[in-house]
Amino acid sequence: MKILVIEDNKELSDLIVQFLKSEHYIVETAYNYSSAYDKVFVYNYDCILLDIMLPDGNGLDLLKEAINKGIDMNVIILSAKDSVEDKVTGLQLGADDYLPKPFHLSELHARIKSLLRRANHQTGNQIRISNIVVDTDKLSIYVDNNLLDLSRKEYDILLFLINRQNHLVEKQTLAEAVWGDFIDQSDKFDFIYAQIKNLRKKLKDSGAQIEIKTIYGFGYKLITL
Amino acid sequence: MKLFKVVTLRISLLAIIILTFWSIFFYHTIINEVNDEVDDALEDYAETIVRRTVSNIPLPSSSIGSNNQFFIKEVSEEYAHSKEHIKYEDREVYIDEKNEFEPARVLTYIFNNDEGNYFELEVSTPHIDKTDLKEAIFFWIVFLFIVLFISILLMNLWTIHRSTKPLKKLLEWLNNYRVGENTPPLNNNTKIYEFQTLNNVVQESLNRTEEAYKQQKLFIGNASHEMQTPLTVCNSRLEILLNDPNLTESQLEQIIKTRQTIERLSKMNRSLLLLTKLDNKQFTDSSKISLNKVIERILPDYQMVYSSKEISVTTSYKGSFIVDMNPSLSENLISNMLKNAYVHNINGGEINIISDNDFITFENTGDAKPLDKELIFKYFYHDNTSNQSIGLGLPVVKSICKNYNLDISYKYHNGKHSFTIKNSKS
Repeated sequence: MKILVIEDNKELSDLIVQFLKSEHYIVETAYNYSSAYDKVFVYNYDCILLDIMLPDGNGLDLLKEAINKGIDMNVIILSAKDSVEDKVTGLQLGADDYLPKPFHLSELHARIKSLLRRANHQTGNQIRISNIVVDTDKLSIYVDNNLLDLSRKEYDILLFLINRQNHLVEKQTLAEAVWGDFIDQSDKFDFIYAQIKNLRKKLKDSGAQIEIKTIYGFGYKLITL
Repeated sequence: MKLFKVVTLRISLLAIIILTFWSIFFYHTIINEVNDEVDDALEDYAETIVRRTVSNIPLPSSSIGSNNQFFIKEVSEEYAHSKEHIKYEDREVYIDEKNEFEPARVLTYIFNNDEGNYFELEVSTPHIDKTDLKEAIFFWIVFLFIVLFISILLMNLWTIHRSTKPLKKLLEWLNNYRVGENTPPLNNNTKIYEFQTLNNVVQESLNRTEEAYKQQKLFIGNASHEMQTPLTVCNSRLEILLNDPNLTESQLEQIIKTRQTIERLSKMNRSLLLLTKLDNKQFTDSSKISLNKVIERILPDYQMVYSSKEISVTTSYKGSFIVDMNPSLSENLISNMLKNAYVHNINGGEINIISDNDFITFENTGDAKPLDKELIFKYFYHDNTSNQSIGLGLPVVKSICKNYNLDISYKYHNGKHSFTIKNSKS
């Protein structure tokens, strides 16, 4: 899988590259509009991470150019602006996703995976992990083809963890993703614990080959057995 | 005190002083003039008598119906020398024909005939009654003053009203002026130089304020914006570090705590950006939204998250408060209100949400003392007890309300903190 990172901040670009390489992607970089332009229309990439504000141009122009040339790209916009207009324009111009800064690398990874899944159309909107299949259209999870009976929150938690397998997911991050970003650090996370406990029981009872591990008191990590 | 009153009072006071001096001057001038005339006549009269006396012509009868009188008597030489020879004075004189005293002008004249005999002649003629004159002058001065006062009043009413029109317009305009909001231009043409200058000075000063305000907004926006990328960098570094399997528990803890602090910073940043966007009115799309429905959707999450606080929530919807608002802002609004009600609550407390067609109220138990109505809506204000709030929740709420012509008010009632959102009156 080949990914192009178009980001003018070299430090951030390097970090994204480092992270994606550790996830076994092939990564190339462009730090400005002109070099991005050269690469995009010469090579093929499975996914392009595009920063809108570049020193010598607007990332959105790259999308327009691609439409003009009839080239289909898988683009995730990375923007410091977090503005609805940018998001709408970007998505209208054919970008596939929009990730406002500051973002988590794990979140970025989850979005890339989701995009690649959709782009490949191999498995529809399904995620497979050991003996588990997640159908994101039907919001259902199957273990050995048996539907797992989950509440909405349990489904959200499990999907979030599956998308970040083998990575530590902090309680706070999980809570914000599933419940909403009104959650504060000082809040008690008992409500997560209760959900995780139920989830573990259901996974175990159904014979799922995955496990949600607790990492000290800080968070959870989903691993395959 | 109104300008009209001040000017009228001052002019009136000046008028009183001027009229007083003027009436004194007037009185003395009149009296002098009258005395002059009377003295001339008396002198003529006295001369006639003296001439007759000296020439031994018989004197006329004391008065010929003119109330003029004369007395003549021979005096000793010493007496004559000890007195002034001509003396005018005002005195009450008994008039035989009338049988009464009357104020009169009296001329005392000492002379000698050829034989060296000295005579003292006293001629008198009735004179203006000075008390009457004073009274008359006083009366007319008072009358004049009243007339003047009424004139001043009317003139001031007219002139001040007319000439301060530009001032009134400017004041009214200033009163409606809000920094950073589109105020209609000040259209205040005037011929009066001072008001022209005032108009210009006010507008220039406001332009400077406006410019400073814009710069400040731009600064907040740009600063928060520029922080996004460094924040992402910090977070990403820590995230990569976090995936190192060799970390000990305490190292992990340090990293996670740092990440949480950065997370807090990003939240603050997001709120500031949101406030800037609200200020710039960058939320254009809106739809009719029932706030009750938003509450119904969000509330269960809050109840779950804050279940450990054992807060009982009651909702009573008497009607549905519909607002025309950007959907994500309506969620932000309700979310902030609910969060406020939960975070500043006590364990085992309560939250009441009451709504009707034209308002929505959030009540919660909490500290048993009222909050400062002004401060709670200010940026970065927090009470000392809770260190978990960034202090931007209520300012965001207020800003959202302002954008959609809603009013938010706070009151402390029956031991509960109560926030009500309703449509602005204007």
